[in-house]
Amino acid sequence: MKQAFKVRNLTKKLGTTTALDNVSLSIPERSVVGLIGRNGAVKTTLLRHLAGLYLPTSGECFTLRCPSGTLGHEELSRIGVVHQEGSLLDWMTVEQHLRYVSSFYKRWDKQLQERLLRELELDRSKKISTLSSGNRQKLEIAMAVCHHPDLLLLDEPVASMDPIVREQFLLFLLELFREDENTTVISSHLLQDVEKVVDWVVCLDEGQIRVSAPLDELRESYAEWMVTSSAGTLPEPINDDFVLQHEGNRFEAHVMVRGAPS
Amino acid sequence: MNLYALFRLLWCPARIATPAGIVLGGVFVSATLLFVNIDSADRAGALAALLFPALAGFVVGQAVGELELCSFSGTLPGLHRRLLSPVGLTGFVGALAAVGLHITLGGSYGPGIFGLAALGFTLGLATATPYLLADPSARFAASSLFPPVAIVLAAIFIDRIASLCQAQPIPCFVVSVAGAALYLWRRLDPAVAKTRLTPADAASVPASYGEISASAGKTGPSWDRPYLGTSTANWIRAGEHENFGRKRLGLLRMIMLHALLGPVFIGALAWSWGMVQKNTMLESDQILYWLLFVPPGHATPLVSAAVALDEPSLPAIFYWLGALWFGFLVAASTFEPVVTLSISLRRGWLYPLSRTHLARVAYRGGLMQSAAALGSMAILYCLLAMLSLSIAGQWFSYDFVPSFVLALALAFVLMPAAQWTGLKHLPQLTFAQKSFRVALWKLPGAWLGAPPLFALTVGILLVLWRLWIPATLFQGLIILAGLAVISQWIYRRAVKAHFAHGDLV
Repeated sequence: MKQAFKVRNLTKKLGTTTALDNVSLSIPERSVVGLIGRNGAVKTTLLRHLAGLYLPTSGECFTLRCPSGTLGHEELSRIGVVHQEGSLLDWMTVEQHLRYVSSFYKRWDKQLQERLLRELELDRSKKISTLSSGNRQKLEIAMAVCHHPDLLLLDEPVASMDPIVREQFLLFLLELFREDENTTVISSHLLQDVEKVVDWVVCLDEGQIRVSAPLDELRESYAEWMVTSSAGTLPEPINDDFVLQHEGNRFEAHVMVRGAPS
Repeated sequence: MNLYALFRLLWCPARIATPAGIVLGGVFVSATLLFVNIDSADRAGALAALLFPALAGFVVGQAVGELELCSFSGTLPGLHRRLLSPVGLTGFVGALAAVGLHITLGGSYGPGIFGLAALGFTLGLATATPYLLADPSARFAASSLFPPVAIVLAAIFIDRIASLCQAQPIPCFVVSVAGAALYLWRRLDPAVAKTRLTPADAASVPASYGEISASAGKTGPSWDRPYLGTSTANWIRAGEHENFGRKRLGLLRMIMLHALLGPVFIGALAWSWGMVQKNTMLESDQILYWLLFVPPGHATPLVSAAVALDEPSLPAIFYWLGALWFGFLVAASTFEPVVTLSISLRRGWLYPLSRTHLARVAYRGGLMQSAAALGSMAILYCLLAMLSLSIAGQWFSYDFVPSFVLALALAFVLMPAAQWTGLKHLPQLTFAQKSFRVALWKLPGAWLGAPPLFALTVGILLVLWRLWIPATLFQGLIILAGLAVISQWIYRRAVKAHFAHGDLV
């Protein structure tokens, strides 16, 4: 199966800080990937490498089977990006901004644009400087998907959205995925935000990949237990091999387990 | 709040004020020390006692305003009243320093001068306040413009004010200090502060005039270009639209604005210099002419500053000082367009362009920016020359053409250095950006790099203009053309390397 992107021994130093540390990752096409990690886990740094905005200090990064440093017009036209903190042209209206960005791409789906403006409740005549952060994020999403990219990189796209719009957006993503059969990478610091739509999960922590596996496999492998003992006989801590994390006391414990015996 | 905290608060804006202070100080110190004269010493001292505290008041006002607009500042109990003592103390210290400067410049001491300094500080503080008004359009209303206009009028009529301060020292002192205290009390009144921006508003309200005018009306012509493809010209046009598309002919309007503001700025400098010595616009314009252009017949053996002091001679003095000011003019008009006439594409956006292509767009866009800057400078120099020549009853003379053309050519040679600084160190700054002023203060790379670049520019000009005078205009152009080819070649290689090996965010 063809790879949407591949990262091999990638290290990125930003000044004296090692942001990404010898990261290797390979994702097949037509996947929906959840990139999970705490704040500061360098999810954005990895996404920027995939988009060709960053170059590795060492190692390799291939996007759409092309080194990310030499992505050309053809490849970049097939990539859509939603930035966590995007910068829009504040003096334009929503419609003007979409019209301006549409000129970047050969194929721009006007019908999809109109549908998004409707469903995301974006007022086309409003100045971008007057939009809330949630609405700015919606506009960024519209800009990223209307040219039907083969690779969609979404950096915390739902962080500023209310629950109803968040739900709508995730359903829309699924629909888009079915129609375009693209590869989508969604980063978030909360798995609950994206687990409804992703089929592959990559966990980043302190610049390294801790987990990279299908979501189903993770669900089978990982669990959270609430363990109680009215007699107060729980061990403190619980030291079994399958226990990843333990919080609690002799009477009650919250335990994270992996590969626990059934 | 204590003095140390206020010092830390002022440190950032002080970095902005320092160059302005140096310029102003240079004007007074050089002009006054070279022409020690009892009459002018009083005038020079009074101007210093007015303008330096005004500058200090402006800086303090901006710093206090920024503090009031910080998040959660509204939750700090008694914030406004607590600012009274440090601001008042700063004003008092500033006024004392201004009086000291007045005495150093040879002015006769009196309490009235202290009052004049207090007045200057208050007007500077009042000038910095309007940007805090919740109604953006009110920032440019007549009442908001009164303080800076008052400063200018006070400077124009400084002789009368200085005479009044010496004739009626106690009443001047009492009125000025009482007025300053009353203004400060009202400025930092918590009830009045409610009429201004809240920290929550600050993020959403436009901070610059460009943004205010943009939000007030239509957004300018729509972008009606079809698919841009990979055409470099199309993408340069896109960069121009991003930066100047809000108004029809946006870039051209900015060029004209530059060109028209330049004479105001240069004229104000020359006028203030001339005012220190001679209280007439006529001789100020003559000084301006000598400052900017080397008239024929004076491109001859150098005159040292010591000789000039022994034999005061207007052309000889400004032969050297003119080079400095001319160099400053060329340097300023070379570096300033990098910020205000940028037509570069935005950083961090994923344009469907390869890095090679982005480098090409950046370089050729830079050439267009250079052309815009040179066009603006050409208009500026023409206007300045016409202004100075009008004294002799002429409007145009070919005398100034060689210096004019060589200055433009030198600016073109130096432009890549400024553009490289912009590419590497400046974030996306346009007049449209919120908190343009705050963003500008946070540019350590630019502020560290700019002074050496300015010094280099002025130094090159001194070498070229005073130690090597081209025999003919053609000879000068040939040499500068060679230098321009070299500088463009170096810049082009640097741009290619930047896009090939650097991060685009």
